[in-house]
Amino acid sequence: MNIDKIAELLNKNDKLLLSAVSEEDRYLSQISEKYSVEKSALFNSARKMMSYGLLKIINEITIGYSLTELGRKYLSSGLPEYVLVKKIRENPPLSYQDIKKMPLDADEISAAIGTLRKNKIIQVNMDKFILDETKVGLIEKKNALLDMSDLDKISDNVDLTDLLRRNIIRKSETVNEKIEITENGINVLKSSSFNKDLVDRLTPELIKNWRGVGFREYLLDTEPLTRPCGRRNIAKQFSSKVKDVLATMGFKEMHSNYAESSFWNFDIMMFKQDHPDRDIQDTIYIDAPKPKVPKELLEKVKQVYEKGFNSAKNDKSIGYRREFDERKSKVLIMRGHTTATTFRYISDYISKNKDAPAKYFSVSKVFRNETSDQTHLPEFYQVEGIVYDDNLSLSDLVGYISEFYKKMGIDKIRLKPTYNPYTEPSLEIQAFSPKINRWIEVGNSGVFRPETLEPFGIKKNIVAWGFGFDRTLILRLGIGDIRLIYGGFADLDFLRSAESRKLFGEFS
Amino acid sequence: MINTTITEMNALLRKKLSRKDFEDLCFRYGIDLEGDGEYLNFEVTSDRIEIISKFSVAYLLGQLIGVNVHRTEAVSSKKMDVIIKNTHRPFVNLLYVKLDESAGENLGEILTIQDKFDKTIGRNRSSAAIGIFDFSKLKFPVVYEEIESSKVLFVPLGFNSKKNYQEIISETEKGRAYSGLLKNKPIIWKQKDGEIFAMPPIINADFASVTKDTRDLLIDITGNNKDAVNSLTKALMLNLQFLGGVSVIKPKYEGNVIDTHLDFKMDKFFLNESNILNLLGVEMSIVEISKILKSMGYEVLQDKLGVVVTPPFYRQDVIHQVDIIDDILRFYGVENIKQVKPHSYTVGEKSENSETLDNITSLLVGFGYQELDLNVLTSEDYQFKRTGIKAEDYAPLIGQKSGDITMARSNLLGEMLRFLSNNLHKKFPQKLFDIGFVLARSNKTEVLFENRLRLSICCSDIDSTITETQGIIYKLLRDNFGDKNIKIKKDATLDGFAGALIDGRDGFIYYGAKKIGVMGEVHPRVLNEFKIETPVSMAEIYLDSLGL
Repeated sequence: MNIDKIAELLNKNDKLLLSAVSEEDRYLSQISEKYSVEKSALFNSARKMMSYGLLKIINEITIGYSLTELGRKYLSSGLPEYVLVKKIRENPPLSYQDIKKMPLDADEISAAIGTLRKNKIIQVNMDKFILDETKVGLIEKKNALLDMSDLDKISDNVDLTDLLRRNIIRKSETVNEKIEITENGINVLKSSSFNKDLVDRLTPELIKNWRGVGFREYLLDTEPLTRPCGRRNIAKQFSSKVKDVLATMGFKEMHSNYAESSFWNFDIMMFKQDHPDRDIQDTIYIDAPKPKVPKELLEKVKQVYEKGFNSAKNDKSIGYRREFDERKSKVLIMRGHTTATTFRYISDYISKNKDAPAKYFSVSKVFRNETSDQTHLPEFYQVEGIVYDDNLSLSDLVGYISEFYKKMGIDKIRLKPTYNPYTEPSLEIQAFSPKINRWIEVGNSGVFRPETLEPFGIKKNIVAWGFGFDRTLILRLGIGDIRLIYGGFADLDFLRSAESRKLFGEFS
Repeated sequence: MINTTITEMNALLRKKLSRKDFEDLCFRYGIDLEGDGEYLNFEVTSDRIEIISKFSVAYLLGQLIGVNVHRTEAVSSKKMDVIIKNTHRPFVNLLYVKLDESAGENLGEILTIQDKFDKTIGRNRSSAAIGIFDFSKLKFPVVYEEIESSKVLFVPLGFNSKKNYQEIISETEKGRAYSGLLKNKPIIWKQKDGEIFAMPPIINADFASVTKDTRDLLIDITGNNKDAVNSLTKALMLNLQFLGGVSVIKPKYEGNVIDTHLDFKMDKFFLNESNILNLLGVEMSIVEISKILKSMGYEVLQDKLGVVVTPPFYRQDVIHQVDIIDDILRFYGVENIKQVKPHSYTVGEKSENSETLDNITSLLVGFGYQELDLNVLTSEDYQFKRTGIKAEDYAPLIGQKSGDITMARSNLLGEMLRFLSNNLHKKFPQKLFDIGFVLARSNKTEVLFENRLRLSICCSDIDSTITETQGIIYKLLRDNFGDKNIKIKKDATLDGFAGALIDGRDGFIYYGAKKIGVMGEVHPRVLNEFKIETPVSMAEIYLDSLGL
C-alpha cells in the first residue's frame, strides 16, 4: 500500500497518536493523559498502525514492590526481629520466658529469633539472649525498608527475598508501552493526504449535505471482535428437535416428577427385587419418608411377580416364583429412567381407554448414582417413545424406529437382540458412524412383557424405544467431553461458539 | 465375561470359524464380543445366567449353526451315605460328577465356573456357594453340621499345617473375605473318621481338594436362599455336563431339615403360528417353529392347535411364551423382520406450556442471554451454605458416589453462581438463563416431592445493575401473560433468598396479586464464597405459579 493510501485510512485517534510520538511523547499513558483520550483507544490505534509498519511498540516492564496487609502492620509496629532487638537492648540479657511474654505470636518469635541467630546478631548464653551491637544496623536498615517511599526506589542490590518469602511485601510488574515512529510513519505524517479532511462517521447533518464530502476508507479484511450473542443451549436445542420430530410423527409429550417410588421405577416393570440396578451403587435414593403406592395395583403386581397368571392358552406366565417384598416398593428415589413416566401414562390414560390407539413420548432427565467423567454424568437426558394399538408387532416397532432415526438424520441402523427386564423381545439400536468408522449403540427398544401389562388388564402389544440422546449429541458436535455442555462446569466459550448446523443434516 | 480363544472355540465346535464368523454369530444372538486377534471375550446378557463358560457359550453358538457340542444330557440320581443336619445355611444340594477324563487341562475352567457362579447367582456366596471335592479322597458316610468353633481344626486349602477357627478366619484370604457370612456357629463337612474336609461357605481342607488327576467330583451347593441354591445347581449342572456325567445325590436328612425339592420338571408353554405372527409380524409354519425350537434344546409336542413346548431344565429365564418366541427370533435373525410403516393415527403435541417457554427463550436470547442446562443434583454447600439461601424442605440424597452431590436442587441460583465461578475468565458481560425444575416438598403428590418449573436469569458484568434484570422481567411478563400490575416489593425473608441478596436491592416480584419470584443484586459475601469478582444481578421466577 502506498503512503498516501495509508494516510487516508487513519482516523482521528490514529493521527493524534502518530503526531504525538513524532514529537517527544513516547508513552501511551503519557499521551492518554495529555490529550484526554482513553488509553485502550490509543492502544488499538497503535496496534493498527504497527500493522501498517508506521510505528513500533516496545513494552517496558517496571518492577515495583508494595506492602501486604502484614507489611502494613509491621510498618507501624516494626518487624518482629526489630521489636526483639529493641527489647533486648532495653533489658539485657533477656530469657526465652521473657520473650514469650512479648506481644508477638509463636511464628513471629521463631522467625525473629531465626533471622537474628542466622545473622549472628544475637547469641544464646546460659538460656539468655545477648545482643551484638555491631551488627544491629542490618536489622534497622531492613525495618526501614518498609517505608513505602523507600520501597519505590529500591535498588537491585538490596536482598528482598526474606520479606517476599514471609509475605510482608509483594512484587508487581507494570508494563509501559513505549512507541517509536518508523521511517514510514514519518513519511505518512509528511504525506499530503495526512491532513485531508475525511469523514469518519456519517451524521444526520452530513446525510443531508453529503455532496463533496470524502469518506475515510474502512479496512474490512479482518474478523472483528464482537460481543457474544445470546444463544439457546445446544443440548436444549437438540432436545427441541427431537420433540418436534416425535410430535410430527403423532406422539404426545409426557411428564412426571423426578422423585419416584421404586414401585413405579422398578416393580411395575417386573424388575426382580434383587436386580443390581436397584442397588444403592446404581440408584439414587432420597432420604425421606415412604412414598404412597396405589394399593390395588401393588397387589396385582405382587400376584404376577410371585405366581404369574393363566389368562389364556397362549397367555400364561409362571411369574418369578419368589416372594415379593412390598417394603421394597415403598422407597423414594430419583427416577432412573423415563419408563417410570411411561407406566404412569399407561396406568392413567391407556388402561382407561383401551380401544383408542395411543402414542406418547418424553424427553427428560433421569438420574443414576455415577461419578462424572468424559462420557458419563449422574444426570442425563432420556428419550422414549411408545405406541399402543391393535395388532402391533415387532415389525411395526422396526418401522417406527427406522422412521424416527431417518428423521434424526440417521439412515444406516442395525438391530441386535438384547435383554431388558420389561421387554421381550428387546432390540439394541446401532448406528454406523462414518466419522469413527464403527457401529455405536444409539438406542434400545422392545415389546413390553405381558407381565408388565397384566395388572392393567391390557392384552394388546405396546412397542417402545429409547434414543441415546447424549451419545448422538456428542458425536454430532464432535466433542470428547460431555461436561462441556451440562451443569456448573460447562464451558461458556464452548456454549457460545457451538454451531447449530451440527445438530441437523445427515449423521456422521 | 467369558475369556477364550478362537482355537479353543473351534476345537469345541469342530469347525474352522474365523473371527468375523464369531462376530456375526454373536451379533445375531445378541452376545457382545470383544478382544483382539485370537482372543474372544464373550459377554452374554444377564438373563442367561447359565452361559458362563466356554463350553456353554460354544453349545449355544453350536445350536445356531447346527453343530452339536458334546454334552452328557442324562441326569441320574445316586444314593450315597450323606447326612445333612440342621444349620443356619439350611439348603444343601449335592452332585456327583464322573469326569470323561481326569480334570487335567480343565481344572482351571472348573474353578473359574465355581468362582463366577459364587459371585453371580450366589451373590458373593451369601445366597449360595459351591464346594468342589475329590470324591476318591473322601471316606463315607459324610456329615454336614454346625459345631462349636473351638472344635474346628484342619489343614485349609493351600496350607500345610493344621489351623483352628480363629487362625482360619484371620490368616487365610478366604477366611477374611467370607467369615462374615457365618451367623452363629461354623458349619463343617466331616468324613467317616471325623476329619473335617470343609467349612462351607469359606474354605475346603487341603486333602480333599481337586487336582489335575481327579476323576470324580463331589460338589455341594449350600445356602440360605432356596431359589438361589436350586438355580445355581441347575446352571452348574449344565456347565459340568460338558465334562462328564452328572448325578444328583439324595442325602439323608436328620432332624428338622428343609428339603430343597430340587427338580427338573419344567412348565410347559403353548405356541402356534398366530402367536409368532402377533409378536414378530412373521409368518412361520408349525414345522419351521418346531425345527428351530428342537435345535435350541426345547422339547416340542404337537397339540391340536399348535405345539406344547418344554424348555430344557437350565432355561430358568423362560416364564412366558414370549421368551420362547424371542429365542425363535434370535434363531430366525432380526434382519429378516420386515418393516411395517407407521400407520396408527394419533394427534401429536408437545407439552401445553412449550409455546410459552419457547417464547420466553427467544426473548431472553434477543436480550443477549446465553441459555444453560444446569444440574439438578447438587449439594447443601452450593445451594445453601455459600448462597445464604435458607435450607427448607429439600430432598437430601443417600450414599452418593460423587462427593459433591448430596441433594436435589431446590433453587436454580446456587448452580447458576457455580457456573459463573467456573467461567471467571470468559468474555463479559456474562448474561445467562436456564429454565428447569426444582424439587419442592408437597403433600399433593404421592412421591412427596413435586417438580416445579423455574426460570433463572443472571447478569454478571462490571457495571451490571438490577435495572436491566427488572426491565427484562417486565417485558417477559407482559409479552407472555398480559398487562397486569407488576410490582417489586420488599419482604423480610423472600422465600429464604434474603440472605443471598443486598438488602434494599431485592424484592418479591408480584404479578397482580400473585408472588411469582424474587429478584435482586447478589450480596458481596455470596460473591466472595463463589470467588466471583464482578457484580451479579439475578431473578428467579416461579413459572409454575404462572401456570407453566
